[in-house]
Amino acid sequence: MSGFWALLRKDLLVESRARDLLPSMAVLALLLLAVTGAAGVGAPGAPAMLWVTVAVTCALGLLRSFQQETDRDQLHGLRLAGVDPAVLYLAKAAANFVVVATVEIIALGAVTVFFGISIPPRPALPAVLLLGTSSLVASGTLLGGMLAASRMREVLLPVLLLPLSAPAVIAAAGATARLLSPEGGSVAGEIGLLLAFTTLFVAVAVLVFEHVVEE
Amino acid sequence: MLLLVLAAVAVPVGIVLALFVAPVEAFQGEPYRILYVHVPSVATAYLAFAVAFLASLAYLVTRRPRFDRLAATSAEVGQVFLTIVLLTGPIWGKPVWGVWWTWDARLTTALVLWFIFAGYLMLRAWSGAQGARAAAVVAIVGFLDIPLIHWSAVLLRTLHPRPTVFRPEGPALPSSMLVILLFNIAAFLLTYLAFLTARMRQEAARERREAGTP
Repeated sequence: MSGFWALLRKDLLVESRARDLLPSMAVLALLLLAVTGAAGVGAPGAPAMLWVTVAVTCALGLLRSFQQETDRDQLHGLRLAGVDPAVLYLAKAAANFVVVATVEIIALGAVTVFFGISIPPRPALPAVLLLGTSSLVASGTLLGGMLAASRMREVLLPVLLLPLSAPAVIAAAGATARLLSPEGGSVAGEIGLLLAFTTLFVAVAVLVFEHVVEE
Repeated sequence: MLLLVLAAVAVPVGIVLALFVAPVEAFQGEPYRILYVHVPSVATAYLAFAVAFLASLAYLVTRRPRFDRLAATSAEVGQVFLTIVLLTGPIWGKPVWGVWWTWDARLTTALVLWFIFAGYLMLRAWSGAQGARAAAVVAIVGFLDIPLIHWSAVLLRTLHPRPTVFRPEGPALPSSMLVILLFNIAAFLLTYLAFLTARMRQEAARERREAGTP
């Protein structure tokens, strides 16, 4: 597991120096929210728009995290260094989580402004945000790794990630809507679903990652 | 060949039964007859995807090309049947519910599943042999996603009629309708098997031909 921290540190370091993934994803998210707000989507649509935006942004941005590794055959180097593919996945997913969570916080800020909503202080809300992020990142990192060597990856990642992550987006949007409403309510079902979704994808990824990441 | 003949006979017979022999439904009237196409298509589609799921698992474990071929062809044929489901559903829904579409759990699941396997087929088309393992993973998570999609939509809302056939207490259809429905389900399954075996043979021949060229 020491490999995990080294890989995570490397990815975050690369991103902090290159500064291309986070800004481009953030700008894309803000753009989507701005256009939909301008086009007439109001406060009732805000929770759904937040999550669709984060999902689309992930679908377009997460390829980047593996493209670094295929550009110059770094994956080979990592394998030769004895890195367990499951650890590689977990480290990539953790790095992606940091990036996507940051984008999401920015997006949430934009949503309050563009759609005119306020955020009641409900403890379940951060849980929904975290688990929604983990769901998108768990599935997006798995697919990103699988598609890194494919020539149609820019089209295939959104085409595959969006339907596969649909239950997470639906659950997160529904829970966010309930938590932002004045009455509030229980989101235990949605949280359970998001937890199940994240667990499913992490489990599958850990089991199959070495078989699907190729040159 | 035999399967194709049987299917070619069974499906028209089933349609005639559905249109002329089955009794009229009390509340919905004539439009309900599309049930005899819609329900068998649903059953066949989900069965086909289950086969694709199991074949994908088998392929990842054993790496035998036969399983990969089975997964790909079953997914392909399943997608055709799912398309029929998504076309016949709204045709039935418009006269009976007044709307072409709702985001009820069953419809949402069927539609999202359609997109998942559309992506699967695109992945196969564009990645060829190297994509086989990636495709297998997509089929596996795609199939396992089904209960999650359904559950997420239930947490949001539900309008689709409560199940009258596939229920724990047993079917609620009168036997005259049930018999014809079961006949049509069998006819559609025969059709699925006929297409599946024909495509499998086709894929095997194509692979042999490609392996033969230097």
